Amino acid sequence: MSLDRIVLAAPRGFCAGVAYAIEIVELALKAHGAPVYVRHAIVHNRHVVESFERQGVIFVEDVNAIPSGSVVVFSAHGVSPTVRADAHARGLRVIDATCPLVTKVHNEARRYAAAGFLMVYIGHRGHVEAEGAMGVAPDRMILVETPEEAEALQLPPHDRLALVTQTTLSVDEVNATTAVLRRRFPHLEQPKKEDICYATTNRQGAVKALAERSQAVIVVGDPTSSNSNRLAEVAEASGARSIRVMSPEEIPAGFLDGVSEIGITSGASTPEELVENIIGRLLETSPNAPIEVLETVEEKVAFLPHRDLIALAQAKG
Amino acid sequence: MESRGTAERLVYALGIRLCGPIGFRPEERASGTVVDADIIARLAPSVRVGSLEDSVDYAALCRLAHAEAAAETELLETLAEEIADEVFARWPQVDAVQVKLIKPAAPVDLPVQGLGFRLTKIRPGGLPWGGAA
Repeated sequence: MSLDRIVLAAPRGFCAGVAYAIEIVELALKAHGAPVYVRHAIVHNRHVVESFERQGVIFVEDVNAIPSGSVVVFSAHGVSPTVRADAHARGLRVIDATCPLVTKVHNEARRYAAAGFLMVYIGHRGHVEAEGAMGVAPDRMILVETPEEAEALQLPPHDRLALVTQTTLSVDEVNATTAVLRRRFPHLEQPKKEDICYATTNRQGAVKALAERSQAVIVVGDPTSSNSNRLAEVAEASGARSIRVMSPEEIPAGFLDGVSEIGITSGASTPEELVENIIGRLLETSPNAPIEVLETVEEKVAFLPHRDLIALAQAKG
Repeated sequence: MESRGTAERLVYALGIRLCGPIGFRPEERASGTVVDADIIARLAPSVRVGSLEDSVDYAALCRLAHAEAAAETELLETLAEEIADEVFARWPQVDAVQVKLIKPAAPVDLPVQGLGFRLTKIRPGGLPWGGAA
């Protein structure tokens, strides 16, 4: 097997929300020293988590397991008001690394709840972002995962109905479920603005372009990363053989059979180093394959951590 | 001593630099657009002067704009509405809010300092903007 070309999608990898969350943990370590506790994996990537663990970060699922008075960072996926209250009750010093877009979805859900709406939340059952968002108004939100579930959905009596979505879903997936909901519940109100993450949309657009020209696509991402799994699905739906892996060892034998051009992309929580590992392995068997970047859009979005955290980290650094 | 006359108490957060997927053109949303936000929140006349709990947290005001700007939005008008609605939801003691959003590098083919939108929103029954002073 020898490749004629390796094509990298752009944009790929870290989105502004992930970069923001990682920067906040780095700043918290500098400002407060180890141990710093993080509620849930800061981002859904084992490589990132293990790297922080080596620096003295302790990841926990339950804030009640954290010694009182400790510093805790809330992960990019956000937490429910109950978790915030628990952290407050334990006297924890909270640093919030919730992606601003997830915060916006929580704000939206809170406003809908205050206005008396029942909400349908399109998301993945058990995903930590969905749990956090549903926790904003647990008695007013019903989770729907697929168009089939939307079709079968039975709602309790209500006057007003609104739609809220997880930020990392595929646009196509959400559109299909939304179409069913709108047909069945014409009074459904949608937010004025998109809940789907710009970076998710951009990465999905980029992988579509990649899949249209490459016979196979490798998505580098953690198995728990929602947006990485969606990228692999989008590539497959766009006609390319596709697989999601974290390391070169996970590429199955025969995956590259008959492939002359391979596309590579990565999820929003995947460090570029892992992409480089994949490229390195491919070049071992195809040393002359040129590497090309297929850029569909240049991203400039950036989220800024709290200035006082930056100042404290600089003072200690 | 009881104060005489009327007073208009305004909380300012000026020049908040935001960068989010904002704009009518797809490339503005995909790449990200810089927007400078001014938010002025007016405290209701019933708010006790000097009361910390009745005041508005400046940092939270800025963070609120930061979060709202993270969502894909075609129009500054929509973003301004969302910011204003969230200010009202967060701080019941705010009875009016003004949100000004400026794109310093708007995609127009003439030299401009900025293009933008200003929204003034007043709760039902509230005095007109500038009407309390």
